[in-house]
Amino acid sequence: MLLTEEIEVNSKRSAYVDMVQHVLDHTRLNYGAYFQTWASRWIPSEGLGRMDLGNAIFSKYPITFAERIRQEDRTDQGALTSTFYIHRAIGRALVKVGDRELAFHVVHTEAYDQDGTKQKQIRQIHDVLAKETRPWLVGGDFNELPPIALQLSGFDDESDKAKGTEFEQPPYTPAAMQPFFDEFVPAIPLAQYGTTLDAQRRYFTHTVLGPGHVSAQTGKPGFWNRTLDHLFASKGTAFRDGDVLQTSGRQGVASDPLWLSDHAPVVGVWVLP
Amino acid sequence: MLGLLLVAPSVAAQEVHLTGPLHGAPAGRPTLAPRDTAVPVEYWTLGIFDPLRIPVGHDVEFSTHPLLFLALAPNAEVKVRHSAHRAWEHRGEFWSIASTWGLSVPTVPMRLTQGYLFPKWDEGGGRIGWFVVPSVGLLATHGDERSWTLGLETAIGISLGPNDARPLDGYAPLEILFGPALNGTRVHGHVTYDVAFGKSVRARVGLDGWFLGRRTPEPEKSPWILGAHGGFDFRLSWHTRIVLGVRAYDYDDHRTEVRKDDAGKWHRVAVRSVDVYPTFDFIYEPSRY
Repeated sequence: MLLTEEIEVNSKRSAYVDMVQHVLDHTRLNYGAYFQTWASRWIPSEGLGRMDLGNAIFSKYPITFAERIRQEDRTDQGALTSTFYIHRAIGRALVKVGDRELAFHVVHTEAYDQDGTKQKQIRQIHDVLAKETRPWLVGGDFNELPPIALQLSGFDDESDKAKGTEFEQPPYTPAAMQPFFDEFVPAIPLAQYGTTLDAQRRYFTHTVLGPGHVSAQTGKPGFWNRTLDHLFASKGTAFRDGDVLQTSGRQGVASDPLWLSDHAPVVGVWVLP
Repeated sequence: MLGLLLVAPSVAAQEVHLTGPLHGAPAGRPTLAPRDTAVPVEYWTLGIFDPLRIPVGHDVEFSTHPLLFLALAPNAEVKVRHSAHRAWEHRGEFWSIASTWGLSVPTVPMRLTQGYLFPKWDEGGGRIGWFVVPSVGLLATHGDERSWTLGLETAIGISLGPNDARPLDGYAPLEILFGPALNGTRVHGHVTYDVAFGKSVRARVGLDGWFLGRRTPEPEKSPWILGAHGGFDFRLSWHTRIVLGVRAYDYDDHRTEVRKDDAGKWHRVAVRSVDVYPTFDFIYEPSRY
C-alpha cells in the first residue's frame, strides 16, 4: 500500500502530469483512489494557475470502495483567499485482501492556520478512526509533532521572511497527537522515537530547506528537522520494521529522499492477526 | 507576413475616397454607424473599452486603448483605407479595404501583475523580459446599414532580452491579450455582420478564431481559441451610445474530465472550456453629428 499527500493530477506547476496515473502505470500498484483537496481552475497567485491536488491511496489489492470525508476549513482567511484555498479531507478506501476487507485512510491537515483548524482536523481524524469497525490503517502528514518531541520551535529551516506572512509557523501542539499513541498502534512507537534529540532526529520526516540550501541559523545544508508524518493502525494489529526513509539505501530506497520531497516516507510492515 | 502580402494589391488599386456612410443617411437624425469596420472614423470617438479613435484625413484612423496606457502599456494602431474601388462594388455598395498597423509594449503591466498573474520569483531570480509587439492586419467591409466585415491580423512578440514568463494557461481574454508576448505569435481572423434597426439601434453578431504559437516547449494543448459574439448598440443621445452583448470563447485551458471507457476503466481526458462573458461599453462620439 502507498499513501500519498500533495499528489497532483492536472496542475500547471507540475506540468499537468497525472501523477496518480503515472504511479499506476509504473509500479505494481494496480488500484488507486484519489481524494481531491485543492481544485481551482486558475489561481491568480504567483502564477500558480490551474491546481488539482489531493491525497491518494494506492494498492496491490482491489479497492472496493472509496470516499472523501470532508474536514473543517480554516476560518482565519479572507473571502478571496479562502475561495482559492485547500479544502482538507480524509481519504478512506476499503481494500479487499483475501477474504478480509481493510480500511485505509490518508490524511493531510492544515500547516499554517492560526485559528485552531489543525487541532479540530486531528480530533476529527481520531473520531473517524475510533468508529472504524474494520481493521484500519492511517497515514499522512499530520503537521503535528509527537507528544514527546523535544524541539518544538526554532527549526533550522525557519526564515525571518516568513514572520508576519501567511507562512509563519504557528506553535506546535504535540499533545493533540497523544490520543493516537495511547489508543492506536503507531508504526514508530514513542519508546522507539526516544527521549533525546539525537534519538528523535533519526525519525524526523520534514524540512522545507532541502539539501540545495544552507540554513541561515546553522550554516549547514538542509536535513530532516522535525517529525510531522505518522503511521497508525488499529488495536489488535501490529507494525514491524517501522522506519523513516531519510537517506538513500535505507530499506532499499535508491534515490535520496531529500531531493524527492520535503517529507520523508514513513514505512512499516503491517501485521494482521 | 500574411497581412503584408494581402495588403499589397489594394495599395496599387485606384482609390475612391468616401467621407460619409456608404449609403446616404436619410435627412434628419442619421442612422447609428457600425463600429470596427474597414472604414476609418470621421470624428474622434472614445469608449470605456473601445479605443480612442482619431481620424487623420479621410482614409487614416489612429487608435489607442487609454485603459492599457493607464496600465503603462503603450499601444497604438493605424488603420489605412486603401480602396473602395468600383471593382469591389456589389449591388450598389462598396467593399472598403483597409490595412492596420499596430505596436504595443506589454511588459510593464505584466510586471505590475507579478505576484498574481506571474510569479515574483523571490527565490530563483526570474524576470519578465521586455517585449515589443508589432501587428499587421487586413480589414474588408461591405455595406453600411447592413455590413459585413472580414478581418485577419497577425501580432508577433519580439523579445528584447531574457524572459522567464510562461503562458498563463488561464482565461481566454488574458491568453489573447498576452498571447504575442508569451506565445510568440497570435493570429486573429474574424467575420462580423452588423445591421441597423431603425436609426438608434444596431445589432451585430460575429465569429472569431485565434491561433496562439508556442515560444517555448510547453505541455501540449490546442493552440486554437474559437469565439462568438453578439450584442446591440443603443443610441443614448446624439453623441453617446451604449453597447450590451455577450462574448463566448471555446478553448483548451488544460481542463480534464474523468470518464469511464467501454472496458470499465477510468481515464482522465482533455476537454475544452467554454466561457461566456457579458460585454458592456459606453462610447462617446462628440462630433459625429
